[in-house]
Amino acid sequence: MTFRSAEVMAGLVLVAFSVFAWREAVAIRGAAAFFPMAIIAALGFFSLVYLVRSVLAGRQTETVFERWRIFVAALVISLIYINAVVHVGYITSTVFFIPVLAWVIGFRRPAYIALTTLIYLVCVYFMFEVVFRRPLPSEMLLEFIRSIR
Amino acid sequence: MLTALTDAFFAVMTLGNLAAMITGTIAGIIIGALPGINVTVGIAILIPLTFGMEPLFALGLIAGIFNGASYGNAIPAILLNVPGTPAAVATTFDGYPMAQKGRSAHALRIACYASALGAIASAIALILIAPPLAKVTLLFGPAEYFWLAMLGLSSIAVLLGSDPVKGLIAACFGMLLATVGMDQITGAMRFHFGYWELADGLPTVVVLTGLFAFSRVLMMAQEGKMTGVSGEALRLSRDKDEGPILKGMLPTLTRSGVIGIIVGILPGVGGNAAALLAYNEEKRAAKDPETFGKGNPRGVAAAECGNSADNSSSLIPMLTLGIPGNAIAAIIMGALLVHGLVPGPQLFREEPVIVYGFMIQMLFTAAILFVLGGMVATRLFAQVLRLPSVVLVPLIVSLMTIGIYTTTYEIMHLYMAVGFGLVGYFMIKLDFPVAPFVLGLILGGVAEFNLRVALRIARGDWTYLFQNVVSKILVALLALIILAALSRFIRDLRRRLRDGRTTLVERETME
Repeated sequence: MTFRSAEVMAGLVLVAFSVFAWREAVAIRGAAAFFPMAIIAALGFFSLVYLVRSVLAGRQTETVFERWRIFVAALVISLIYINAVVHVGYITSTVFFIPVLAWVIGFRRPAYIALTTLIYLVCVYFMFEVVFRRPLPSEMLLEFIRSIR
Repeated sequence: MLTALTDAFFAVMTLGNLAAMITGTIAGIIIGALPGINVTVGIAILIPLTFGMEPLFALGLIAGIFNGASYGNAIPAILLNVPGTPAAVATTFDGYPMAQKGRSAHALRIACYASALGAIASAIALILIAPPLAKVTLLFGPAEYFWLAMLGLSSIAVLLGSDPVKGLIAACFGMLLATVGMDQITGAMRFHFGYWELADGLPTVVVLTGLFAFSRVLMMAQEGKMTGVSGEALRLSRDKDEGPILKGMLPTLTRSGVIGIIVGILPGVGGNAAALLAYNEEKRAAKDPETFGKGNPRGVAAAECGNSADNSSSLIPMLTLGIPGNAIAAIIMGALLVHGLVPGPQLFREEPVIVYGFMIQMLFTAAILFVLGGMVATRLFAQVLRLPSVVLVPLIVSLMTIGIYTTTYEIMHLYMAVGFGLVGYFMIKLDFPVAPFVLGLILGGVAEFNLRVALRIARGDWTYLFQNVVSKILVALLALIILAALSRFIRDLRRRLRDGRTTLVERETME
């Protein structure tokens, strides 16, 4: 994608966002609506200037968003990890997360990754549970084993 | 003030706080030297982790990272000609040629000591200027605060980005997000979309962590740098007997320190401008300007001293007025807010030990750099460059996740961090400056609240906003900045149109 196309798309999104925000601001009661409406009007105006400028004189030579598959993969894996931390537990999720994400983005040195994961988890456990006494999310696996006993 | 300083000094000198300052400084040097991350990202990751710590312990870590990273940036700049941040660009001019001549160790030590001296001068300026300024600002009313917030916003939006329109869009977007939640005056709910968790507004720390840390992670994953620098490239030359490191550099350090401190106080200008101005001034004042750019040690000292001398002074507007002048000050303001400390003149009255303690920590962490400027430490820190940056990607995501989650145990905050990480990612990709967005988010609330209070006091009379001298001066400055931005925009548009036409002609010729 050229820089110009990306800027035109961003301009369209910003103008659409300004229209949407304006419609929401209209529903706010009384004086509380005044400031947001003024800001939205300014945002809409500058977005429109940006859009027109991008259409008329955008940079066509540069490209943006190379390696976008890696970007999407990193984003999706991170979202899965965030959910897993809450529902499965921090240590368990992280044991899988660090090697998987490192592997997916192209770092293929298993021993290096394993050692990094181990050192990182020991440090985090020590800092949170021992030094600052901030409990990490509970481990589903440990809870399950305890419930069997 | 002296009593407060003495109390703060003893509060800072506990074993835990000293450990925090030393750890923070070492971490700061590593963060500064690491490829891909910078001081803003480092502090953004740290803030959620500091929740629950004693405020002075947390601030000691932050002060250490802030000052340590100023020197850390110089390591890749000197050894590899790669400035980790724009602030280190001027260091490469003479630092890299020195390294090529086999004087890398000497250049690194000059950078370290000059950084330390610049940061010490800046911290002393902070201690001397901030308290009296805080007393003066107690006289400011809502009208002055409104104009001050507007001035902060406009100058940042215009000065920081090369493109004022993008700066203004970013600032407006941030200000709009500052209105999310319950209105402070009428209690009306705004932009909450049924999520009552948003009644208190967007959590600043979550937004900042996502915006700076997660966006950086996505960039690093996409860049995919799989290998670090080879050990051979990081082999430092033996320091020949070149005499005292900073011999004859007092005028250089004085000039650069003063430039850095003044630039730091100005909103939106930042360390890169301080370093470049200090470097240029040194070159202009030198008897041998032709040696600059070819490995003149005074070039390295000027750039590093100027760059570090803006550290503490950039905190003056934030601590005294609650108006951050740049992105780092905004993030440190977020850290203070996490600990229930609201920057502004009241902070000096209500929490003198913490506010003076933080200033003393800025001074101490700068002095710690002197100890870390030795050869062994320099060799060790240089080894950080051997780490492949992609390894940091999962570690930063994991630290960010656990830091945010264990602060409130709300999964929604994690989604917000990811969302703002995406916003930050697209902003960086499309050359939108991120700092005006952050300042809009923080100053938007200040501007709105003070505007409405002022209008209530004046029973809706708008002329009240322009009645006193301070307001008039602030409005005049605001008008100047807007005019400067407009003229730059028109010039830029003309240039773009001309370039666009040229491109079209070129394409037609090729076809």
